Amino acid sequence: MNPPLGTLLQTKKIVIIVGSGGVGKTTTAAAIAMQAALLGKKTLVLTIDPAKRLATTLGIHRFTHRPKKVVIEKDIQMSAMMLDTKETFDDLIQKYAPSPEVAQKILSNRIYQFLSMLMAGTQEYMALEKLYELHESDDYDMIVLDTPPAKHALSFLEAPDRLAHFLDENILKWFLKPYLKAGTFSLKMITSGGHLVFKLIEMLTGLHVLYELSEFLLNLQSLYGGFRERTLKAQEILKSTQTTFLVVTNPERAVFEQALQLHKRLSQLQVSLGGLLINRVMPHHEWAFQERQLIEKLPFFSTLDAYQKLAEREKEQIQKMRHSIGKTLPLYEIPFFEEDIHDIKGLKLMNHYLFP
Amino acid sequence: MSSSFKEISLSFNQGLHFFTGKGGVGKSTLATLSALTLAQRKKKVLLVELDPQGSLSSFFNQTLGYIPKPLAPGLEGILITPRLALREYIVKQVKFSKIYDLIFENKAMQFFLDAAPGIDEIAVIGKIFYLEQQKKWDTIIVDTPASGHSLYLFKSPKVFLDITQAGPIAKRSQELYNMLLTPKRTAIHLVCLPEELPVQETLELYQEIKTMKLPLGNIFLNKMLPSFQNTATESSLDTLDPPLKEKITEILFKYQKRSLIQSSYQKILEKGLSQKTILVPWISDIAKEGS
Repeated sequence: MNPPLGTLLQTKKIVIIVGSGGVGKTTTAAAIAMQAALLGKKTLVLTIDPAKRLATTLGIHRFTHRPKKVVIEKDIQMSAMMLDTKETFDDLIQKYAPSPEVAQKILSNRIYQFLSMLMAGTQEYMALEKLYELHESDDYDMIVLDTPPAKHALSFLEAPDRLAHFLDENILKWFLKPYLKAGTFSLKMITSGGHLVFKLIEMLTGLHVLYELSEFLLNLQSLYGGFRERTLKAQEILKSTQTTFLVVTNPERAVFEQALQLHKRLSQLQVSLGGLLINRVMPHHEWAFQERQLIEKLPFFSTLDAYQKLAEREKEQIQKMRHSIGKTLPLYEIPFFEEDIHDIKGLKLMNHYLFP
Repeated sequence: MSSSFKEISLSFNQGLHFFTGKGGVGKSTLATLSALTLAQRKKKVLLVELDPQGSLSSFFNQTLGYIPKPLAPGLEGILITPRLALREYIVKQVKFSKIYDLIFENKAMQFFLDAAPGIDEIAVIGKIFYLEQQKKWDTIIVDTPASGHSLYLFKSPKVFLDITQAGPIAKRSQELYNMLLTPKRTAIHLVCLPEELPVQETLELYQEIKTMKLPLGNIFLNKMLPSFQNTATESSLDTLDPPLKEKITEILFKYQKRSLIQSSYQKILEKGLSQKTILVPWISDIAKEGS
């Protein structure tokens, strides 16, 4: 049997909360961070997109991206911060650009601006980057990472790789081959170089896009080395023995299936799995035969029965889940609370179930 | 199943219907139900899946592909993957598939496409445009990815129009943009849950859609728990023994509270939208009952 979460908080330094969108990752991350803080660890929770009331509790909002202190109880605090994808990306460019001029050129390039705002996977990549930066700073005993909302929980594992490939030296070289040979950049060289891709882009979009793209790739080339190394190191964190993953789901079939896929994938990657958490489980009640006979006569029975049926189906799903993940992984069921969790009291209530 | 969801589906006009909303709110289920409802009324419907790991394949027990295939009487399904959509577009442009293969089958180019912003999105919208232009279906229902990504999908034609300004891509982007902006051709439906984050995200999405001047369809509030109305009163429990009465009261309290919270989120949502929502009851595995 794997150790329970309470034990993991003593031995690990990073907890990564993964799961499909809308299952309660942020709340879970905040609750776990709070428990670590209560255990005396210097703790930070890095969130992506918290609900307003929870964000207010944590003292963070959209326009501040520095760690904020949250008082849990007298003399016990934790830090919370929200990821700013664009700022993290900009910082990274500034850190690795050979000169402030090159950094500025990249930051003001329109292709870069679209890339840093719109590109699929940027958020995931920057979450990992921020985690790495915070880990390296050694300011915290425990970092709890909430991961970006994605329809597919696997995105967090796959997206950084995609971006890393894009930044890969060989790929940039392939693109830049026509004019790297000449040593300097010239638009004329690209257009006469006969490189098919550029010809095609030019044909479809016109010259100025080609110009900006080339300029962007060429400048990016200059900071490649640091980037690649950093990405590799950041990815090592995921497999480190100091890190553990927690899969969050709710009892709905489609969401469950994704959680199972995620569990399978994480097992293949041989990362440490801390457990599986099922949020929003409808309370289930067994009725004695005689009880049921009495209840059936009540005017609200059909409504009550509808709730009971929902609860029963969920119970079946959870049993199936238990069966497919095997007996060794701890499984935590969190009931459907009467209210959404948005304050310290609510987080403590949740922790009753996570740290029994 | 609520008759009103069915009625609304039947009132869908011809053209494109996008189902969008936060992850996990039930977009695929409602898109599928709408498509089945229309198909049962002798409409020709195409259901579009954009997610290779999406639930449509397992729901219909069919592997969807890039060529539309029949799923039920009157209903066809297609899986649009960006790479195939891009290939189709480029091949139509350059006339020779060999040129495409030469450029795009290159490993470096594949990595570039994996990461390059917006290309996947515009290729997908472009394919939806081709399908619309075929005029083979009365209604095309698109199950879009989670709201953040679906916004990229809707934004991509404008972004490409702004970047390119001239040339074939600019021209096509303009056509795609026109298609998305025309209420007779497009409706964007929002799916939401009566919970804090989905309501927050739906209100933001609603504002974005308004700002982009995209034609808004219906707003579905999914998974509404049944209401006890006024049936669960103190007097209705009086016939029970005290222990059982206590047990039931406790259970009722929990369920009722949950249902009340849902109603309060419904109010917040409707206030922010200044329009009524269509309520869809919470039935687990609702899709099964639609087939």
